[in-house]
Amino acid sequence: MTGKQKCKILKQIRKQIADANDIRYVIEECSHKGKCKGTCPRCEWEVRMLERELEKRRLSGKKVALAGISAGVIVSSATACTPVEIMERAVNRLLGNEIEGNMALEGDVPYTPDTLQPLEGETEIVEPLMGDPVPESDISYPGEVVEETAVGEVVADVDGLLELPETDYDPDDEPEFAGVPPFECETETDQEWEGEAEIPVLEGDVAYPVDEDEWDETEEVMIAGILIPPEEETT
Amino acid sequence: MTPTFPMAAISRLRMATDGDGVTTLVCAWGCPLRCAYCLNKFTWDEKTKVERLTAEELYARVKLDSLYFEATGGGITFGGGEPLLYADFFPEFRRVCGTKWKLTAETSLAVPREKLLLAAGTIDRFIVDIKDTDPLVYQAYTGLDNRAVLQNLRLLLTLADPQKIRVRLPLIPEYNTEHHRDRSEEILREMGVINIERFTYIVR
Repeated sequence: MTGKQKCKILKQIRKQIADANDIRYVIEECSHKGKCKGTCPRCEWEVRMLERELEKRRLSGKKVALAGISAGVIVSSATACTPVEIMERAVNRLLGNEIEGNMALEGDVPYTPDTLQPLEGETEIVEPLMGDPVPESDISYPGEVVEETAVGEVVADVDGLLELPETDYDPDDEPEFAGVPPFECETETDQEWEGEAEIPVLEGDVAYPVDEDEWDETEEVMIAGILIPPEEETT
Repeated sequence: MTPTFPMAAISRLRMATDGDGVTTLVCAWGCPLRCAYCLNKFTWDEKTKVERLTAEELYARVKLDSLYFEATGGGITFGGGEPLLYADFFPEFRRVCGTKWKLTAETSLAVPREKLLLAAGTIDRFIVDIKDTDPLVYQAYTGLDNRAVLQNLRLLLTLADPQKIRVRLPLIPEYNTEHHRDRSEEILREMGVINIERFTYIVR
């Protein structure tokens, strides 16, 4: 899923929340060019505004509809489909595209074209990354594979029959749990780092925005390496 | 002592990969396994910078996506690493975040039984990466014996609603085959597992 696709889905979720609570929300086409992680200061600002409107509604004694409003937009991969297919179908549903095949996904909300705004855009299947599920037809095995493993060389022939190396493993031994991490990590929450803590950012990750109180929409913001130009003041 | 969670990485606004709805993945540092194709090897590395967060601190970090969590039935997914090693953190986090978020654990179940008992009382959904039920394949791929893992899975099926447990069965190039996977699925179905997700690792 591209960042733009993610952004469109999140925008749609915000629209559904707003509609269910009589909050005026107009979906505007994003004018940002270039790589997108799925959110930006503008989108974050819209979320904060929506939260404030919902809180006002709650404080005025009106009912707030939120739980499960968009439950059908995102489905888990716990179905016969691969996650790539799930995402493709979810995006197609939002785009209003016809989908072939049996679309009765478990737990799915029936598709009702009248409630979803048609979105422009294209469906792009992202090339799977290591560890990502892929169609099994794309996998082929070489004649023989030799790989170093934790217990030594593992050799498998074209039929997948494995010749495991001799080890000290004794099936009659009682299982032992590591139980705790092999290395003790001594950290303190108030430990001073040089600059910010270098938390690894996972591929496809969305950067955290700056503190809400420090947001200034008129300033340039650097999010995940993308310079977001300041909003121009309208007169 | 206040339980803390050693967070090694965090990933926002994930969809359709870590449970239903929009989720934030919080990766734990530390894992008893040494999988050959592990995507998150930094969770084993003692040089990895880790933040030990209390439940309140983690909540303050992740609450900015609460609107999406509630609207889509999503929430926080604890992964890693092996998040169940810190099972005592989950009840505390549940107390802080309330009941509107779904808490999911991505786990290998390679943990002591007591940790699983603690987690089962708080976690809403489990995603179990069982690798393979064949002990030789499991040992070769992870470096650990899998008898306790299968015992934990049997226990989990009695503690939690089987509908809320998803078991992932990978096809692991150079370690198992379709035959192994078919046999694993057969064994899992006999145990009472309902949701089985078959997928394939790509090795580059």
